[in-house]
Amino acid sequence: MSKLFFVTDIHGSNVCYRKFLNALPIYGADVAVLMGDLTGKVLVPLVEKGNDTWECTLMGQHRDVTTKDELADIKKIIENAGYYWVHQTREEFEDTRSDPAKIDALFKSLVFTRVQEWLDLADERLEGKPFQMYMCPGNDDWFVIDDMIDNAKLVHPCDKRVVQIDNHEMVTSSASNPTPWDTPREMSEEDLETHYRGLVSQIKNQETAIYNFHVPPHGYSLDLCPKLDENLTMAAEEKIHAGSIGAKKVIEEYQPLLGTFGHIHESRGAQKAGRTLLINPGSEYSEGILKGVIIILDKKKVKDYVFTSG
Amino acid sequence: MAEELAFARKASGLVRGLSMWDAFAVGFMFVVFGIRIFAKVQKVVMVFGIGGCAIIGIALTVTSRASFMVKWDAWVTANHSADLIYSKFPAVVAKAASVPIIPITWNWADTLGVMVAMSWLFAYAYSISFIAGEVKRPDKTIIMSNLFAILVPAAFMLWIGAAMYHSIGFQFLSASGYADNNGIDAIANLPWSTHFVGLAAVMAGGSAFGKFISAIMGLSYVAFTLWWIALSYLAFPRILFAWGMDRMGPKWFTDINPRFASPVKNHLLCFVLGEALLALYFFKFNSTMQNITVTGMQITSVFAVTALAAVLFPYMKRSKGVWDSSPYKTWRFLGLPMVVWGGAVNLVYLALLMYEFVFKKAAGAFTTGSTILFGLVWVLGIIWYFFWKQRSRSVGVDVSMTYGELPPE
Repeated sequence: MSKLFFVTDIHGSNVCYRKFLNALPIYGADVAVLMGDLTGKVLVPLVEKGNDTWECTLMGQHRDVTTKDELADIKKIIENAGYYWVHQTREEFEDTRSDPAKIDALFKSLVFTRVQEWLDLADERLEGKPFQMYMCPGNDDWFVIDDMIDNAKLVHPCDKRVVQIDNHEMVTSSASNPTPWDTPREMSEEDLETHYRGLVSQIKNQETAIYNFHVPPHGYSLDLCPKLDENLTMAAEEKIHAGSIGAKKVIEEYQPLLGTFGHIHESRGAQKAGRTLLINPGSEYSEGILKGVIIILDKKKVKDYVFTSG
Repeated sequence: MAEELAFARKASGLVRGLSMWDAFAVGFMFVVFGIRIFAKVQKVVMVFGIGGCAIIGIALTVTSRASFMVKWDAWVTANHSADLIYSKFPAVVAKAASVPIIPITWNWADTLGVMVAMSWLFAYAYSISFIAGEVKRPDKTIIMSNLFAILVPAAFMLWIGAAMYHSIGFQFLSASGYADNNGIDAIANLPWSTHFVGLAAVMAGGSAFGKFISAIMGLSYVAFTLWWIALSYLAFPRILFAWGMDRMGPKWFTDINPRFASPVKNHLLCFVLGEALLALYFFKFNSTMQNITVTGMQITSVFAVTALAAVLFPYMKRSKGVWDSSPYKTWRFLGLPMVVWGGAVNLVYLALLMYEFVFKKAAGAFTTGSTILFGLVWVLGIIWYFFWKQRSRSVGVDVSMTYGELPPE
């Protein structure tokens, strides 16, 4: 019997990542899986005003920072929410703001730096500990991140491969179906189904297998999200299924033991698809809350599972 | 005549009981099969309900005391109750209530007693918390909704209260309130009871237009009741669902039916339990189950705990990150965060309510039976908690850790 701790979509949140590492001994997990998206969404320039004062716009509010303690606090808030900060003079800020290529390069460098910091921290914390930790990107993550995980010392990569967790083969995919945001790992539904089929064909025993797909299967309660209008504004009352039809077909056809998913933060839950238990632990990374699920795996069944919130 | 009256009362009671079951069944149907329909219907009901209340307010405001007296006297006389004319009604009710006289002006004890009814103002804000995850921009919407959930009913109640004081008079109002709450024999011949909608209907008069207005007022009350039951029903299975998710109840509480995309088994359990409890309440334990075991339970288990959490929230180390990033952190009054003021005011209010329940028998049925039931529910809740905690531990899950704050460093 082994205890699997599964977390997804922490989107650059430093506090969630640290909580994740700390959770392993607290929850008594044997194996931990951190699925993407690992990348945050917001860059906050801290613009110097002179005399050790700064200004920034955070969560829609303009803030003046007048002491170094305040500056340290605001950096922490930014990092914990999954955002990135950068010190800039007024000239640097104006120069960057007017050039999308510069913004892109700056943002990517901050994203990659944080992922590398996370991997280094895991190496430090996991040294000599009995836990096994897997990490894989999500559709928001650039492909450079795969190389970084591949080169990590104690964090094991699992994307696009089959890894063994106790008696269970786990196959992972970071890809997604098309989204309104045109992210790096999107595929058409047809290509995605072919991609999934290629991956799951490597599994020897489907009865005990775990499908660890970033995108949940279409049409279940784990892929419901608010409908977006043409301005990408959320509709208050209308929810749509945003999961993958390819994932649905493959899961319903092969009927693995367990499916773990992310991508749709607001659809935390569990549901059965035939004999397969489907779980999406959801995400509240922006609040600094680590949402996850502990799954107790017996040799041939899921003995129990419980959602966590820490 | 007495036998006929008793039979009529029993029959009317049965109809009321059946109406409760029907309304609960409608709530069940909405929640399980038609939440999308309910989402649309509730807007119509809300407009219709608020419109009906506005009509009631207007009817009460534009009617003078003299005009009401004339209309009331004509109405009771036409319904074979000439002894209930305006000048005699308070004395008749005082006799039925076995008190020397119905009070002629306000007093603190009765005013605080009325706060029990006022507690329902908070019920709308309470409902919002159950649907909090399903609204657009909850950071803004929930705050505004909570505010308006208090302000709108408060404005209506102040308006209607002042209008009734003006057009009906305090003593008659007290008497009609007592008669409506206690269903005294003296008003048995009247076609409807002496609640505020009924009094407004008397003012509207018996003309075709008056009957139309009365129908709108009555229907708005019925529509609001159905809406309220469906909304209340929505909360019950959600609590069980959360228990299932947290392993504080059986896993099947969270089983989603793929056809209806909802936890149908959970809903059916709530429906059966709800109908059974309604039957027990209606036929067996009416006084035992009301007030202290319903509102009192809400006060102690939900409202007071939430109010205390609001007072402590800005000062808790574990929630510092959430508080620091809140846009409402800057809302302060006399140096304290507004959320602390809100929690503190609510705690004082809840303490007053509990005082009324415990020490003022007139405010509710605080009987030995209801006290035992109140305690029993708490004890069963505690047993349930420890049973499931132990059961989860036996399969390798410590639920006290799974919802505790993880160290952030």
